[in-house]
Amino acid sequence: MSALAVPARFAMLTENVQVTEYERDAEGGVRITARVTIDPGNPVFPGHFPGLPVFPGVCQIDCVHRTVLVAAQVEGVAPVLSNVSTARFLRMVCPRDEIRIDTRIARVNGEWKVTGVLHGPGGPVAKVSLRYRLSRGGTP
Amino acid sequence: MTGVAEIMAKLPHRCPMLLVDRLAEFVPGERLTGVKTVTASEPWFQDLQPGAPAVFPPGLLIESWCQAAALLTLWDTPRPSVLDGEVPLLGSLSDVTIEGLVEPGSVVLHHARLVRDLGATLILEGTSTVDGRPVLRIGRMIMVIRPSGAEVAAPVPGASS
Repeated sequence: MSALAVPARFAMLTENVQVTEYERDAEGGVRITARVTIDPGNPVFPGHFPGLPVFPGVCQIDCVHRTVLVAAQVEGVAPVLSNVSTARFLRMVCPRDEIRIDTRIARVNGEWKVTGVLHGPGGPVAKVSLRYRLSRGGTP
Repeated sequence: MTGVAEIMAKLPHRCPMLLVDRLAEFVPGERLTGVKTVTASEPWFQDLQPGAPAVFPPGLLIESWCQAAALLTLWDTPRPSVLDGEVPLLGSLSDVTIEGLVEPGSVVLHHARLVRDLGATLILEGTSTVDGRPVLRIGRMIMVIRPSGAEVAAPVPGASS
């Protein structure tokens, strides 16, 4: 499917996340592929760190969160992040890195269980598992 | 009171990613309470619209707690200039629970406790509260301390697979 716009509530944290693939599986889950090129102009870099720009791990979690927000729009639900079950950061992410995000969402007991893997130029950079409470009509 | 001037002498983080304002309690090698005051003038709120919910991004709340944890581990490390010293990196997080939303005007207390000190790798845990109400629980954070400069860019040890 064509690229979906990602809600830009906190635009400065992670910009330009573009969903390139979106498919549902038979169990009501969702599989998403998205891409982001880390903008050297992102305002986090002057402060993280001066002279040593490192894309923060929490912003990598936010990359996965962005893809979940796209699924929320498509599926008509309002997921609220409740847990970072695990997040492992394997390599540094730097300005201009091209990152692919593979997100899988499973619906379990009224929650979304999300696994996200970020791949960079040198291999996987982060593996994240998240849990979301679901509500309708709320704000993600 | 230990304020942002002393904090900036210990952390390499700078505006807008310097997310601890002062220390409320510090027991070296054991525990630390850092204070973060959230205001609507922070850059994450620049696109906020009237009537829209204003929530401090949970990822930044976690980052803010992690900076309090880094202060606990790096306090005794000299930092002659911003990058002339050790750089604390986030190796992993597990069992993190977001228990409440944080809005502008909130004063967040980040309680960090050192669980194990393995030298360049440290294990920490803790909570964050607003007016005594828990908003964040960190089951376990693994922090990796790197020397400054190019060596920082190497893969994180022990975090593969």
